[in-house]
Amino acid sequence: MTLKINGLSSGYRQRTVLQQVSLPSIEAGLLVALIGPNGVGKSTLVRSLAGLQPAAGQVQLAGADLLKLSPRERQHNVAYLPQTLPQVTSLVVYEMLLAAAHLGAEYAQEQIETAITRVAQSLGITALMLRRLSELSGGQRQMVGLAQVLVRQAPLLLLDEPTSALDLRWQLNVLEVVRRHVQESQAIALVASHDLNLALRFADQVIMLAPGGECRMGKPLEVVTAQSLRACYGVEGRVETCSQGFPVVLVDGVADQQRQ
Amino acid sequence: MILLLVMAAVLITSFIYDLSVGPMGLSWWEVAQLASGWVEGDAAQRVVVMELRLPYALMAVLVGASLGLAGAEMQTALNNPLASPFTLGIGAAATLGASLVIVFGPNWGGLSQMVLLPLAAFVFAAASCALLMLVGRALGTEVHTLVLFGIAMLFGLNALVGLVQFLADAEALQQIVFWTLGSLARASMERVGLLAGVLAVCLLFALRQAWAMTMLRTGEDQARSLGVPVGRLRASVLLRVSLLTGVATAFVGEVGFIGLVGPHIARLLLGEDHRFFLPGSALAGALLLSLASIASRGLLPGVVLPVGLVTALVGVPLFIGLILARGKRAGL
Repeated sequence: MTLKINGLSSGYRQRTVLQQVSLPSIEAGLLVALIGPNGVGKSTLVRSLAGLQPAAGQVQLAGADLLKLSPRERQHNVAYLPQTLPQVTSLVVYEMLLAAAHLGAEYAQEQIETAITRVAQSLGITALMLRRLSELSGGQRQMVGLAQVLVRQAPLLLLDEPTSALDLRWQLNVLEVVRRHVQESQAIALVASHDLNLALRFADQVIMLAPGGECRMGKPLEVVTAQSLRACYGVEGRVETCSQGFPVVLVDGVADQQRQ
Repeated sequence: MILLLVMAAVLITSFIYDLSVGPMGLSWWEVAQLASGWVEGDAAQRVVVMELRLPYALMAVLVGASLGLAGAEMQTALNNPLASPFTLGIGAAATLGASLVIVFGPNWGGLSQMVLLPLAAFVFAAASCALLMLVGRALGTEVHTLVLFGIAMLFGLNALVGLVQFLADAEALQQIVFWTLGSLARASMERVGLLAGVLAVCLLFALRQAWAMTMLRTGEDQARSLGVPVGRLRASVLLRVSLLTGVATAFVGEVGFIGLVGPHIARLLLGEDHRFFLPGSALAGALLLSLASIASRGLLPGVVLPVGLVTALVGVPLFIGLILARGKRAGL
């Protein structure tokens, strides 16, 4: 299975955000980080693939054009995690996962319970199962949203800022779970994120969207460089290796306007 | 599930007690035996219980259930806990239809007021729902704007009802006021049968969309990414709400409190898994109006108070009690 994006355009009523975006094929089993400064269209790209935003172009997933699928056909191919989940609801966590498994996956009735338990255990939210969503912290709600995505067993996972409300330890845990999930189920995860260090550490590939519509995709260390940080984010920075051997981005300051 | 059964059991108890309230002095046990056919009773007892009180009590249960279900569906579809058929103008539209018939059209088309009045109430309720749907379609997924439009429509329709009342003579004005207070006195077994049919069909279709509505409570984007056609779901909810509210209001007038509070009681007791929340809201609404029906004949001896007036008097303490109990459990 591969994901091919060709000539994708999308935006809002009076503003085109993505103009003819084309990317190399993305193979199954990969976690791909989608990075770029505010407003370049990370969320728009993710929402377009999820069918939540009108879009033109071609998005082929395992031979089918995602943009032409009906919502019902798309639901078995794509699982989407929004930036936030609603705070005011009386649903308990178990009911939310049950609804996602029932509507979005093709489990036999007797398998649903096992699938929910497995996902909850992998994310460490078993103790939250009978708590109402409205009683949870922002980070806990984000974990529940991610559990809804994982329980659906979709081949394409679209995660919009999945670690934005999580503490340091859970950022690592969650992306490790996502990476393991895509490798085991040969799915593809497209993760929009502002955290370049997490992208460098966990992503197999990185897509960098730059202001002006430029778009680069490749291995993390090929895409995230001092030059691309200056051109894309307008900062002077460098990629170093920490004592544990992981690449980290160090930002020295705002780039000189002349050099951008 | 157990809570649903408990609610149903309390409703049955309330229903039987409602049948026993009246000057004949029958006990609830005698009434239960008469209604179930175990005991024949004398002719007067049978007439009073089966032909007078039974339609009245059944109408209370069915109208309450219809409005409770309609309110629950609206609150979910519009993602607003203040949404109900009466807070968004659908009840006011029904009242306007009824008021126009009372004041201007006692013999329109050769039809009697008995037929015209509920017909006009239903047509106006359905028209207001259609207007909400059209605005919803034009606005896309801007739910809050749709709710604001509903509230604006409520004020507009209330102003029109006020205008009709201003133009009405004393007798017509009295009729309109009686209508707006809500009354079960116009109940008959034919009307009970029709409303039961509408309620059964709407509940069936609502339950078929229970998973989709549950998913909608986890967020509109989540629901849409799961293939839930949110726009179509809202349209079908508004269609059911117009049917339930239109028919119920046509038969008993305005009973505004149920559609708002019935779902909140169900939510407090059962949560928002719509497989249980929807029937729970119908049961809560039915129980509220059944209790109101008992109170309407029991509060002042010899006087039957308009049920719409009593509903809030019975429902508010019950609702506040539930909120306080929940707050205490949560340690608030």
